[in-house]
Amino acid sequence: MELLGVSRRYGSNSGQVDALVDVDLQVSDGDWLAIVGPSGSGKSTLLNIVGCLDVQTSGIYLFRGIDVATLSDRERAGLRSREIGFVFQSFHLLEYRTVVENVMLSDVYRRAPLGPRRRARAAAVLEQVGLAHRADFRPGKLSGGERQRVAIARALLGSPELLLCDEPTGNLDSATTQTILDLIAELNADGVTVVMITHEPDVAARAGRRVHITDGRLHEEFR
Amino acid sequence: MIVAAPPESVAPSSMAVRDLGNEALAGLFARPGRTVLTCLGTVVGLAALVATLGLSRTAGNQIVGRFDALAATEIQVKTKLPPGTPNPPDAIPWDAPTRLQRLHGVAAAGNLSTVNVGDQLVTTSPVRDPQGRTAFKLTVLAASPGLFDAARTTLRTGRTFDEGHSQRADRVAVLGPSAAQRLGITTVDSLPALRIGDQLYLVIGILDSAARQADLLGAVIIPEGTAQQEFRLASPELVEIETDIGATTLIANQVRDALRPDDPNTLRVAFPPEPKRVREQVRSDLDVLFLMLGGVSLLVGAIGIANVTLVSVIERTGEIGVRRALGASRRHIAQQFLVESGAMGFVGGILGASLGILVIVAVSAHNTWTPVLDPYVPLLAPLVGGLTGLVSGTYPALRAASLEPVDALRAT
Repeated sequence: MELLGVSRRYGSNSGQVDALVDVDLQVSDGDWLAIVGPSGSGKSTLLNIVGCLDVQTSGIYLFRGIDVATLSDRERAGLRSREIGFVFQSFHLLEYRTVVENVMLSDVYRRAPLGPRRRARAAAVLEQVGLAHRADFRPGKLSGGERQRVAIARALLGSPELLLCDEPTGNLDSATTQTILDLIAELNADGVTVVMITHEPDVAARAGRRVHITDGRLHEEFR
Repeated sequence: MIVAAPPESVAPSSMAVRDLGNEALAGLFARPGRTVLTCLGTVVGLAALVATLGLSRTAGNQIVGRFDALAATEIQVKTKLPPGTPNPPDAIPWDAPTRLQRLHGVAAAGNLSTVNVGDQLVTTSPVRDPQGRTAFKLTVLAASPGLFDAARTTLRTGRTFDEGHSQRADRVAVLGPSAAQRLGITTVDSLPALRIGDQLYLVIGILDSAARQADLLGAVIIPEGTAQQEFRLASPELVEIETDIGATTLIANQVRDALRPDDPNTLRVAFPPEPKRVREQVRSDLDVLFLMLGGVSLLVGAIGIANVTLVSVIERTGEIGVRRALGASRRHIAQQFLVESGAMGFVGGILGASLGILVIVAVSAHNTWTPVLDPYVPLLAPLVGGLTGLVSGTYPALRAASLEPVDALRAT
């Protein structure tokens, strides 16, 4: 995917905030990109635009050759459901559904087969993240690391091309952080493109490629 | 050089109906207690509506259940002169009861007139007792013998006068119970007499009750012939008629021609409106009240659903964000909340209809009626409830759909 001169400005006539200024970025298939920056630097805004949750105010964002800004709400939703998996800092699991139901949730919006087949696929993904034994638990009974693995399983159910992680380890201790990063590394090795936000340098160090963002401006870090 | 693909190549996300149903149901069952309480308003409203419609049908199907035979068989014939003015001679013929008896459908008929006795008092004793009052100003009525049947009187003691008394102008009297009490007469065995003015009258009977013409209870009643002779009664004041059940309308049409074929328009026929019509009137007034009550509870229920759904949208902002991230479009979010609020109304409608039917059955059982209900009423109730839910859920659903996914995700 490719960003060309992308800017995002929030607010109306009075009190405008430039969250992103003239960002150029290219992400190739199979990359693991870490976006590093302090809070308020615009990295979440960048992730949301890449994830088709937000639309830039100027510039062009091409997702697999498609100009996302020209798409309708429903078409962007279609892109998200098929191509993109999200992992959030606060997991965003539904407390009133079991673990396996939470994973199955991502199939709801792409007309995937219902019933036992969907449950079997969800169980397989849970197996992949090592949580098969927790399938019928409620998220409230799980540890932070387990919850994040459920969230990753949910993101993986549709076999997305792109995995977007917003501070995936922000709420986790360092040991759990390592297991989550190992899991992400594994997925990346399987060919999933990963874009990850973090403000922790040692988490960013696991990524193949890092960009820094400060005050909405992007700087590539070359090794 | 970068070339953008045409946007047509991007398929929108879509959701199966079953998935929509599953997600909405899961949302409702997440807080079952709240969902049940929210349904309550629609339950009460639709129960009231169904019960009202059913009970009005049920009552309407009773074949004049509690038929008020007393009111339904009474006709009075009077002249059109203003009340209080004495009737001129022959305004109502003296033989009115005989003429009316010939009509098929008349059970009993009798004349009744107020006798103008001037200042004359009624007393049982010729002695003026300074200690107590012995002379009273009592109503004196003149009746034809048939009146006692037509007014459905019962006797306490003695007898009523007959045609012979009237023809001979005998000075006999029948007392109403309260008149008898005032005069101190309790029995006719000792042949008590009373005086109207200076004339002696033999008391031959005391009434116990009168279902019609309550004036009889406090009056001294003398034969019509006697009143003609002694007090120059010119014409009966009114004719009281008891008809067979259901014959009032028919008799009312014939009675003026029977009594005054020469000038039927001088007579006025008064008969109580048919009880069926009275009850319909009462019932429809009650119906309107209960329908309004049902409507108000339904409105309250709708506001409740709107309120709870709005709270739910605010509470579930994070969930909305996740669903958007997972591929839900604005439309999908709105659909889910609409289905949730619609389902609450629908379930409220089912429960309300059931409750309403129970009320109908219970009231019918209590009154030994046959419960009758239009089949479309209980079938329509869930639809009305669902529609109420959809309407109340519209604003919250639009609020939910208008949330920006980025803001929604940041919320929790």
